[in-house]
Amino acid sequence: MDIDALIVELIESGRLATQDELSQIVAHVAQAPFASRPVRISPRLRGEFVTVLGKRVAKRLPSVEFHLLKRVHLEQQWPVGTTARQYVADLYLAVRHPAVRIWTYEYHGEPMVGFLAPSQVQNAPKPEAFVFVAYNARYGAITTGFQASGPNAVFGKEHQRLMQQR
Amino acid sequence: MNISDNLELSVYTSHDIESFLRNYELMVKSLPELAEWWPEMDDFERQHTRTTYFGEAWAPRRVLGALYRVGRLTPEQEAGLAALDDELIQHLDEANLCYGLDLQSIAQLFTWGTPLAQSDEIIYIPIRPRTLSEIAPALAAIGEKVPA
Repeated sequence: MDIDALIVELIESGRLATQDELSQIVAHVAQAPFASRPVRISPRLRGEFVTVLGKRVAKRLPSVEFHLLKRVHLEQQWPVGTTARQYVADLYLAVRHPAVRIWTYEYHGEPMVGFLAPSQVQNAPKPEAFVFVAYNARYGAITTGFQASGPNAVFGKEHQRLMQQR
Repeated sequence: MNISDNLELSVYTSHDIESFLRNYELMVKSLPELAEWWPEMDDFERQHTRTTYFGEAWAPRRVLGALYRVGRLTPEQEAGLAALDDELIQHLDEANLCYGLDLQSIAQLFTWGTPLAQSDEIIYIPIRPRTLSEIAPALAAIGEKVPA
């Protein structure tokens, strides 16, 4: 079964997924790549990185590197020295967590699945209770992952057709 | 499903407030450059921009409004929030382009809670008349309900 097509169908139909479908979505996202296409970094953010790192960062970075820098050095949600591989492994742990909550939704027209699970990140200077992971079914990739205090710090009106699946 | 009807504010720490303000500042202060780059960005980069600069700041902005209303922000944080809200309003056109925000979003700031609501200073909201025509029926309906 094409899991990305299933996610789109769930959003468009507004139906609840079966347990089997949810298991397949979890298995699919728990091995999906984190988006790695290059993205620009705003001068404001680059300035903040200079302040905390003491050196300049590139004007463009692969998306996963952008997220890792922000999580480690600005938000301090992951410990210094975390690699992209470790960061993504922590996101996979959240997706597979037995207590994970799962939502399907549209975000600015993009078909998404969001996972919110108790954080298992170790030695983070400023940890939060949960890890949130967002997967984009159009790109077949995880597009963000961060620690959050709960669903209210993640979801808003701009998350259309929001449906809690688990 | 409306996930944010009930806000349990006791879960938010002073660290959360600082983090929310920092992300909101990044969202607002990055707008001029993001808007300048917008025409060159492909779909993926636009989505990335909406996910990171906007997505990680806007839901927490709602929480900040609620925390402000119950007095959880320091005077410095309140001043910072007011300045950022003001700056966002001044850049509404760019915020519409990059984040999809509109006049209704600005109204949301005032329903969520903003220290700007205490100000008598005049603020200017840049708006394209064609978008006004889209919301005019709703505004007119409100006006008709107000007793003369």
